[in-house]
Order: sequence, then C-alpha cells, then structure tokens
Amino acid sequence: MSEIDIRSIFKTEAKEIIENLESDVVRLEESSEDEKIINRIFRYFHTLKGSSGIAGLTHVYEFSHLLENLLDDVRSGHVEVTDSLIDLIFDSIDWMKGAIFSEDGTEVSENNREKLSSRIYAFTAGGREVITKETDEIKIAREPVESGAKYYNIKAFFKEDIFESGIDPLMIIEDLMSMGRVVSNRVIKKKLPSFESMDPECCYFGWEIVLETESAVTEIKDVFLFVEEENNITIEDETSNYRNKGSEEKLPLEKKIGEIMVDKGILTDKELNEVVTIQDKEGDRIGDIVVKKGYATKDDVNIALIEQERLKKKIELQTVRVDTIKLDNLLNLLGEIVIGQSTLTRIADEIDNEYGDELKRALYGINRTTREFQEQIMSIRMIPIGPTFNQFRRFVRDSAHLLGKEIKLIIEGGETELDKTVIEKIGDPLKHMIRNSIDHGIEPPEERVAAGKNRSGEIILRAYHQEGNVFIEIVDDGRGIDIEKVREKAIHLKYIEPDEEIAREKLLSFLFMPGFSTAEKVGDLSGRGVGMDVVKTNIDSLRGSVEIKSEKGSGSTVKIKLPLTLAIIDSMLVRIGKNRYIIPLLSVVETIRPAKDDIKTIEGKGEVLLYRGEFITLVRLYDVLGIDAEYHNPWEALVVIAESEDRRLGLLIDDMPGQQQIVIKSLDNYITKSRAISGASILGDGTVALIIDIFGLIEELGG
Amino acid sequence: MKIIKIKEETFGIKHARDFYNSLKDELIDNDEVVLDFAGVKRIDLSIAQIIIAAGRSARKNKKTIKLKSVSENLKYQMIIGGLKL
Repeated sequence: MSEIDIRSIFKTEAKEIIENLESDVVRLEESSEDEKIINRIFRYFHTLKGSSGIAGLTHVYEFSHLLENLLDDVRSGHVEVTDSLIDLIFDSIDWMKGAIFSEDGTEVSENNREKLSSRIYAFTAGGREVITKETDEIKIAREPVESGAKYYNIKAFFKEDIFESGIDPLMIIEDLMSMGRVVSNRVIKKKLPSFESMDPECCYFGWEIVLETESAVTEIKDVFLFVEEENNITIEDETSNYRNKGSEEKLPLEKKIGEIMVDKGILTDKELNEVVTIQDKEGDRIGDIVVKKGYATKDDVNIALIEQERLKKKIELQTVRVDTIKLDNLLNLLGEIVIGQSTLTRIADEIDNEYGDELKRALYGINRTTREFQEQIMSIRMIPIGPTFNQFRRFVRDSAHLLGKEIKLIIEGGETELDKTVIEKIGDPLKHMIRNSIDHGIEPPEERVAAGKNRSGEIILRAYHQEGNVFIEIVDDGRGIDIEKVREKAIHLKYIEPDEEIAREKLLSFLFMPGFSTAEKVGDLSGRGVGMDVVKTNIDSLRGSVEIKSEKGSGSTVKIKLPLTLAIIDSMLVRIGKNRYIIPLLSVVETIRPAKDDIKTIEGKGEVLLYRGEFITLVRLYDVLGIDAEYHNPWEALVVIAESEDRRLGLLIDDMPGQQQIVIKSLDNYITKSRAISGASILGDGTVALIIDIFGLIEELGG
Repeated sequence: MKIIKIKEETFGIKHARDFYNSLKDELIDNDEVVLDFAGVKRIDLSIAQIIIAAGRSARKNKKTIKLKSVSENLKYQMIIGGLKL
C-alpha cells in the first residue's frame, strides 16, 4: 500500500473520528462529569495519534499525543472540565482538521500549534503536580477490562522493508496493547542477525501477544488496517481457552427496548405485553406508546435507548469497510439488470406460445431474486442519520456563543436510516435551517426570560420513518415567524394581492421563494433571503418536500419529507397518446373510470371529479405536458387517483400498461424545468419514460 | 567509557544507519558505551533492534552497553520492543 493510499484511508477515518469527537466534546460541555464521554474522547485522540503516526503525519501524531495526555489527566480527575478546557479542545480539533485535511498541511500554522501546545502544557502541568507517579510500574493496560472480555492470540510478523513505507511496527503494537490487558507478550527475535551483519534499516522482529480486551475483533483488525495486506497478521479468538467455563459470562445479546425497560424495572411484564399489542395494531414506537400511556417518562425511555445502544456495541459484528463507489457501481449494475429484465418481460409477452409461458415463469423467478438482491443492496446503502445530526452539535454551540444565546440541541431518532446519497445531500439544507433557527428563531436569554420561557432555547432535530418515507423535523421553541410580516412581504413582492385571502401554510411557503426574507437585519449567520430557496431546490432534487409550521411566540417546525431511497422504485406505467409516463406507486391511491355525472366544473376550482364523496381536481395530463391524447372525455379514459401530503388529484390517462420496478435516472435542467417531472427511466424496449412527480405537479398547478 | 548523547526527540529510522555506525565504532574502541536518552520522547523499532543486537554483541565481547535517562514512556516502548530494563 502506498503512502498516498494510507493517507487517503487515514483521512476518511479521521473525518469520521473528528465528527464524533466534536459531538462528544459538546456533550461533555453539557455533562462535564460523564466518564463515558471522557473515555470516548480519550480514545478518539488515542486512535488519531496511532493512525496519524502510521500515515506519516508526525506533527499530528505529536499533537494528538499531547491531547491524549490531557484527556488522560481529565479522566483521572487531575484536570477539571471547564469552559476554557472545552475551548482549548475545540481549538485543538480545528488545528488538527487543518493539518489533516489541507492539501499538503501547509495551511497549518506551526506557530499556532506551539501556542496550543503551551495551553495544553499549562493544563497538564497544573494537573500533574499532584500526581503521585508509580515510576517502577510500567502500565500495560490503560483501559480497565471488564468481565465480558475476550482473549485474542495475535501474531504479527512484518516484512523486512516495512520502514520504507514510513510505518513503525512498534507504534502498531503499542496501539494494540493499549486496547486491553496484555496477558503475554513474546517478541520473536530469531531473525535478528548479528550486530555486525545486520541492516539497521530492516525489520526483523515479530510479536505473539495474548490480549484480554472488551474490543471486538474488528477493532483489533483496525489496528492493522494499513499493514494487513502485505504483512503476516493473524488474530485468533482464544476466549474459550482462557475463560473458566464455570464462571463463563453470558455474551451480551441484542435486546429490544421493551425488554430493557422491564429489566430496569421501568415496565412490568404485563405493561410490556400491553404496549406490544398496541404497537402491533398501530405501528407506533414502543417508546412513544409507554410515554403516552404514562408508564414511563421520556427520560426513562432515553435511558433504555442508551442501554440498548451500549449492548449493540458489545455485540461483535464481522464487518468490512467497503468503498462507497463500489456500492454505487453495484447499484448501477443492478439497475441495468432491472432494465434487461423489463426487455425480456416485453419479449415474453410478445411470444404467444408455450415458450413464451416458460420464459415468463423463468422471469418470475429471476424477478423475485432480483428484488431480494435489490433489498440487500439497499440495506447496505442505508445508514443512520445520527452522525449527520451529531455534527451539528458543535455548529449550534459555536453559533450560539457567537450570538450570546443559550441553545441546547436535542437529537431524536438518530438511528433512523436513509439512503447514503440522501444523507450526503441533506447536510447543507439542514445546516441552513438550523442556522435560521439559531439566528432568527431562538431569542436572547433576557428576551426569553421576559417572555416567560427558559433562558436556554431548544432546537430539536428529529427523524422518523412513516409510510415509506423518512421525515426530518427541525423544531425550535423560539419566537416563531410573524405571519403578518410574511404577508406584507408577499404583497410587496406582488406574490399576492393586498386583499387576497390566503391560507397560512401557503403564506409560509413563500419563505422558500428566492429573495424572500422577513429578517429586519442581516446577521452573520443568515437573513439575506438567500438560502431557503436553495434549501427547497436541494430537497426537491432528492424527490422530497419541505414545509414550515410556525406560531408567533412559540417557535417553528420545519418538516422535510424524503424518500427512503433514490435509486429504484416501484412504479405505475401510464400511456397518454403515444407517450408513456411513470407515476411512483407510492403516490397512487387507485385507478378508476369515472361516471360522466361525476365530472363537474366548479368556479374557482376548475374541473373536478367526485371521488368517494369529495371533489378533487381533475388534471388533464395531456394539457399539462403539451401532448396529444387518445381520449379527451374522462368517462372514456382512465383516471389515476394520486396523492401527496394529504392532497389528492385525479390524473387523466389513456391506458395503464402495468406496474414495474424502474431505475431512476436524473434529468438535467435543460431537458425540462417542469417540477412535475422528477426524472426519467429506461423501459424494457429501450425507450425513455419521464417520471411524474405528484408533489411537484400539485405545486406547479398552484397548490 | 563513551557516552553517546541522542539529541532527537523522535529517534527513529531516519537516524538508524548513523546511530548503528557510530555505535559499531564506539563498541570497537570502548569497553563501555552509555546511550543517553535525555530529551528523547520516542524511539521506533529500528532503534530497539539496533540496541538489542548491539547488546548481544557487547556481551559476547565482554563489553557493556548502558542506557541512561530513559523516560517512563520510552521505557514502555523499549519493553514492547523486546528490551529488558
């Protein structure tokens, strides 16, 4: 592995670690005595130290070593968690980010590092004055090892020219040993020649180590991440040889949240059975049900969730790191298979004999396998949104400090999973809306107190699954949006007439129009009227939607609806004239042929269809799309009843050739700017069909 | 007796050949060589290997190599590297 490869792997790993690190430092600021958080921060710096050393970033290695010492003093209680310590850690993280992620590290000021180092020394020196050092003892196991530990026999033999790649095996072994208690350590020196004949730049040593540790085998493997390919590394789990069978401890098993609450005495078995029955019927989360029923508080549920997370981490998982590009390629290939299947299905339909039937049967089997294949790939692509949410902890903290506000960020539903493409693209829109909440929503402490609120404001980032979609909410308890100001601005910009009656939701949706801002002054963070339109565009590009709800004085909620996946969807193929279009099946309620009497024209609403007792707008798609249709009378044609966000409409089509899975391909703006079209797909016969986006269509028709 | 003072904070592969050559020379000329590690914060495996090989050679020739001013951290690294201190 070349040095560049190692650096690139290190950068990926470091990005993840630093995001977690920043999130945990904010948590530490809120709970300064939480030992778990302190230990985690220590381990992050320790890992950064080890990996940066291997990646040849000695300045980062040395600096993270200082920070590791600082955190060691914090966890031993010799250094107190104070505001200045938190500031120092954040400043240090910023320096490390520059050193790791700038192209060649030259943007990083050495002078700054020295200043930071002096600040760290000031803390550690002050703390260490009282430490009684046991100088005779070499501390091998830095981490206390708990009773659920495992025993690994690790053999590491390095190639002779390993030093040429800038890797020091000693550092790797040191890192390994820091993961637990070293039961035995044998340095294999038999290859070492005589002093006179040795090559001082060759590696001759190997190790055989038995390590007692709580870490999973994947974490042990991670220590050898950069060297495992070209060196002889073996890791064997020898727990059964070392553990006394009589006292063998039960391995942790993944537990359901309800079981944990029963174990903790929060719920009785009877109450658990009751809430499980409710969950089966209503599909709500157990946590929500127990709170609703009054069996537990939100805090109780959070405690149980934390315990569940802890147990999950204890369960050893065999995992591999895979480059996300490979996953994308795999999905693209699957997309091609789906298109190929559609072609075969079309051919099978055209063969009007027993071979056609056989082909159809064979294709049915392949379709089932492909669907399972797709579900598996999708599950690999699904990642929790928690890390994305967590990265805002520091942003909220720093922004609040800058504005002299007190804001607490609460994260709910971080375990909610989304397609990785959606996660990658949602970060910027979320940041923009959080920034708005900080800048315009949450009031300064004095203003909040005067309004009878807590000094400290709250921003809740919440994610949850519902009806095949993922919802993300940004909720703040700030001053809310002044709807009258929005109205005035909308009149000023001539979006509405001064005397026009308009729904509150519609007024608030103007906030997503370019240049629309009701902020009285432009802040450092926001208020320029630039951004919310970009937020909406970004979310639209994800086939999602966004809406705002707000009450003056109480706060605002921005609700984003996103599809679970962007790649392959179930769809309904429809024909209008000679053209075929695709409607996502999730948007389809049913397809009907209406009676002539059910079609009316209502003043102010246009053409409507009486559907199940209510009038819904009838959309002649051929008019909207500017094409010819076979039928113009709705009672001769078919009407697809489609819905989006509780709004229904009827779409006039000629025919419905069938349902199928389609691979979504994006369309550039020069092909169509219509919001009613969200993409395209290649059909089985190789032709392209456009995808009709119901939400976009409703928006384009003016709500 | 010869004292070799090591000045580098991080003493590793970059200095291994020079260190090896000077240690080899001093072991020819002296019965006792002292390696002064004051100020050294870290060594790598190449240095540990040289010290171990030199120690074996010195014992065979009835000579001595001593280590001086070894910090706790350095002692820890040397033990992991196979030195007995």
